[in-house]
Amino acid sequence: MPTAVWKRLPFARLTAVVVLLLAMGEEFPFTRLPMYSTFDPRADYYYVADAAGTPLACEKVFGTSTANVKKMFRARLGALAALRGADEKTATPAERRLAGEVLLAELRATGARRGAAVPAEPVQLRRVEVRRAETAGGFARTEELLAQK
Amino acid sequence: MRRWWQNLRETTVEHAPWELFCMRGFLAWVLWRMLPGTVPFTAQPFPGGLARLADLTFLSDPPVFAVLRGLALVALPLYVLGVAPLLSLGYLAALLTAVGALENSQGAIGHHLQLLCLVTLAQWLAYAAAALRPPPGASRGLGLPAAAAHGRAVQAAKLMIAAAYVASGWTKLIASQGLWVAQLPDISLQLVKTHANVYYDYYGLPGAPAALVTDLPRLIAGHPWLTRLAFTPGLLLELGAVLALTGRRAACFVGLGLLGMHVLARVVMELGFVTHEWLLLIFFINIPWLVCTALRRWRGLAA
Repeated sequence: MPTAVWKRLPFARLTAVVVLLLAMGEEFPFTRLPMYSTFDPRADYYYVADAAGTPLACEKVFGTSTANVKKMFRARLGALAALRGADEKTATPAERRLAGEVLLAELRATGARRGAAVPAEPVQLRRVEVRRAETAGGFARTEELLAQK
Repeated sequence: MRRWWQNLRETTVEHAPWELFCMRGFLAWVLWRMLPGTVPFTAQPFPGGLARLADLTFLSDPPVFAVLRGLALVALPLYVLGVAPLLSLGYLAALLTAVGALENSQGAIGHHLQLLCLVTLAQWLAYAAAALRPPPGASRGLGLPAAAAHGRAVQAAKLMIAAAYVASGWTKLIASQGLWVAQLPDISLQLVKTHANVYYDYYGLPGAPAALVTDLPRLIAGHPWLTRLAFTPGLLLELGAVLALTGRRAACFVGLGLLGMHVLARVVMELGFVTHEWLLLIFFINIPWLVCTALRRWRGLAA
């Protein structure tokens, strides 16, 4: 009986693969392609700057994108917070600073292995949060320094 | 008389051998293009997928990776010629999947390699199935599979591409709890974010025009229904990617629609999905077939 139903499904094989992809999630090479699947009323982006706060071209200086920097920071922060049973949303300022410092050290090392022109001086990890606003050109931004190393 | 929806079934298109050859050639080119020159990751701090099963950091050893990359230069032409795809394509699929798994085990999951790996793995499975159960009239051979085996591999690629888009559409509905269309006006913030990302990635270089960076997000935020009208077709296209499996023309139309969606995302958000675009061009739109059909029609009209 189940076989008969399966054979009557117009796109049985595709249905099976879609279910497999949704069930497996982000286990490479499987993916649900979750990009832009929800939209929050706020967004944030990260960038790396020199000690004076002047931005550094992330792709050129570290060989990776600022989008990756954000994901890497969040993964490290989540792992740090998980040690005390918390998550990244409830991370303490000290955990955020430590995750940022760990990330900056890794960015330097990976960038050097890629052959990028990694600076020897301290660099900063900065986060900008964007919200919709009636004023300020439709969007309001708040910026914070996460770490320097 | 069959009703129209009774024709909505997966159909295996009979591609000519030269089309299959072109598809293998183009896919090989994309595989080579996506294979990095070096792998800088000496650890896998957040292992995922294949990296959970094996330590893939050996790929970061430059001499080792140089040899593995060199072997890919042997496997690629063999695959294009249709020689021993179980070995040639299998090697390429395994290498790219290992590289992608290691790259995605750094705590930053990207999505530029998954579909390419899934397509090569699906093709490999199709070749394996054809070797175990040869298509009617074809001899069982691992070295030079029959055209039918190549056809099955192409069908497997199309199936995987369509399934990925449908899964992406369902993910939007599931993750947003059905509110994706309602939430769309907040995509304006994502536009601000992606333009800022590109600005800081290439700081110092001329950025995107102000119309895209500031005016468009403002327009989107200020006109929620216009935004929903403009972006909802993208979701419908993803969910409707299943139709690409119903025939050659349907695949071409769906492919053009999805390619248009990617081009729009590239222009509006500076977000490129290069491998996705190439896979659509190769397997759905099938440029050589389009050119050939156009030439045939033109000759027919001229005669």
